[in-house]
Amino acid sequence: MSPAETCRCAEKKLYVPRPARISRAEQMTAKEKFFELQFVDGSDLGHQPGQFVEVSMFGYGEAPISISSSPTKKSSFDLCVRATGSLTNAMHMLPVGSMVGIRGPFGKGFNVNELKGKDVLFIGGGIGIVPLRSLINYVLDTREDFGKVTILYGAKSPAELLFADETKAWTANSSVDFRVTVDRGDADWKGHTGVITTLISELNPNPDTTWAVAVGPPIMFKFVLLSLRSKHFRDDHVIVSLERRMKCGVGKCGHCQINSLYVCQDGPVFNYAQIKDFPEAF
Amino acid sequence: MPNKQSPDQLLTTGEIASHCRVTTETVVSWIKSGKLEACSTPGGRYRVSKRVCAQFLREYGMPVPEEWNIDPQDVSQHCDEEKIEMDQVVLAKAAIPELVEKLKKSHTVYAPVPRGKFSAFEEVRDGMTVELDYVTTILPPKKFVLPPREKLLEFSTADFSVKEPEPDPRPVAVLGIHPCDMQGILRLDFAFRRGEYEANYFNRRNKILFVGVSCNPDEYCFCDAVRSNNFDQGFDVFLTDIGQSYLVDVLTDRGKQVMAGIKTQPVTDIDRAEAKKTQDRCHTHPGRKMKPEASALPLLAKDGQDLELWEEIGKKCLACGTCNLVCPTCYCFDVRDDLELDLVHGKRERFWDSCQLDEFAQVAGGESFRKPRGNRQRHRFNRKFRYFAAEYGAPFCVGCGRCSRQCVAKIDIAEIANDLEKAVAKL
Repeated sequence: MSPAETCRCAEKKLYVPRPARISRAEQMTAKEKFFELQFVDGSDLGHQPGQFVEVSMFGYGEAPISISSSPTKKSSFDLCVRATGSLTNAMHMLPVGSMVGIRGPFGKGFNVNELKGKDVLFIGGGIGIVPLRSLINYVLDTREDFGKVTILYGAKSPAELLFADETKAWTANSSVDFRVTVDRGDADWKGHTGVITTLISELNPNPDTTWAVAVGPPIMFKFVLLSLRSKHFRDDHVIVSLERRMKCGVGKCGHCQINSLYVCQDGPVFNYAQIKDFPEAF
Repeated sequence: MPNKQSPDQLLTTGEIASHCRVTTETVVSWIKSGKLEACSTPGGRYRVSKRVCAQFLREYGMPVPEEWNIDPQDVSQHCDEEKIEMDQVVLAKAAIPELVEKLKKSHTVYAPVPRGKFSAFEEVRDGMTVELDYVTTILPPKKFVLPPREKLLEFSTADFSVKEPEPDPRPVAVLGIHPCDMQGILRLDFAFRRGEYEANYFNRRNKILFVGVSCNPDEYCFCDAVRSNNFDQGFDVFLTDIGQSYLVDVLTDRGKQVMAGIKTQPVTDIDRAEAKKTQDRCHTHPGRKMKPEASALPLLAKDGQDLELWEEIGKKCLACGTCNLVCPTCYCFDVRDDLELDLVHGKRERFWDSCQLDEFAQVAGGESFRKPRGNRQRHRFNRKFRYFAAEYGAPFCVGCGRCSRQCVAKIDIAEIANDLEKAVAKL
């Protein structure tokens, strides 16, 4: 018996995508487009908030995309795609009714049970609001399970703010403290201006009962983590979700590695305490 | 009737390791520390009786396979040396072409053929061209288990259909694999089994027949330092050079079929002594030594992660990726689609990739998470000696020396380890 022969149990088809149809699409900003997808066979994606899928377009390849909807939404799921590479640009051109391939869901999402009963401080920078939305909507759909909910959202400019209808509803929702900022306002902007950390300094969260969930670009993490530390947050009360290049989603191709961790298997959601000593994390 | 024990009542360290999901080295350490009773073959390999092993497993609360559960009255716990000898024969070197021709009837056969200073595994057309007495090959035999370019899917954009490729029905035999390179394949097995089991890999790999041969160490290799000079793990048949002949270890049933009908001679004590001398060359060759103990490297790599040494190595590195391509345990890959001219049919393929290239860790927004070349070299070193080492129980470097031998910038992984040890000592 060679070691190779010990585990023949689960011969899953790791690289075969499942066909899904675009049931709704909406241009959100100049670069970001919203897609609602349904599996052709009617099945449910069955994901946790914070997980991702590999979107497949034959001829273009695959791209890892965060799932933006809460698992409480059944029979379809949402993606929000920024046009940056050849696949994502091609996907933006697809009309409603088109098919794409989906592999996943992959990775470790947010541990919602760990957050239950806690005050939750969401910090979303730019496109980081996309994966965060899967957890925000989950928390709002099961609101009574959580303590105080604060959502901080920052974008470079008002034109780049995503999910305008939903954020309006968050503003109106009295059970949520929603605050938004832009780095640079425009003539019509009446709201807060400044980087996202300026919103954190306005708050006085209780570090014993509050958990921070932060998703954004690498530069945002550097300053948000400093800011949270100044508010006496414990390292293990800070949850982050990290972006990396991924080809396989199943812990083989090696692209997403952060030191010894595979983001596609061990993440993309990490507890800050788990990775703070990893030089390749931020 | 004296209750003589037949060889199939005996387990190799590899079989026990595989069952317990530990390395052979760990099993050997159990034996050496007296926890697990073993006997040894005339060639010096450990064998453990199934009964003793079952007892050992029970003692430590580990599951015992049904077929190892033998009635203690049935068998003696001592080795039957006569019977083991049946698994060892002597084969004249002149008979190798005959063996190759026999294999060719049922297999596509690959073996080393000379290519400049080194050799390359190529398909054998004529058994006479096989040269098993070689230093090293340019590429390791990983190309048989993980081809440089491999089809994952065929697709059609017309009806969105997907087809997985059919495996080649003709089995492959690879002849002349050195122990370190086989250890490389065993590490790839681990990587493709870890977490998600990758059927693509194992469907190909499990069909390959591996015939090993003892090696000719040069000044670059250091298998002794990483303990990858294991002669009886992973092979179906292993040939040890004893001058005009090979001492042949037949290690699996597939191996028995290969040797059936081939003219061999019985083994003598002189043959065994010669074989031991050959196998000991790995310890005695005056090559460059990696000084730190393999077991010390994970901690050295961790303690030394912020050292300037990596920046210095980064200055030398040309980021060409050769070290990854020639490494028996590097398996990172890229996936690309190839669309035919009809823009309808196409295939999705994976290609060997390299963590030394800038775009390897680059995300869609353009950010690269391992921008300095020194950080990429540090990553390679950590992948070989630290990240997987604890989980696998041995380094992911097998000491073949290819990365150092073929580096245009003359970066030597053994020297990195030596420098790291010195630098960490000063911290």
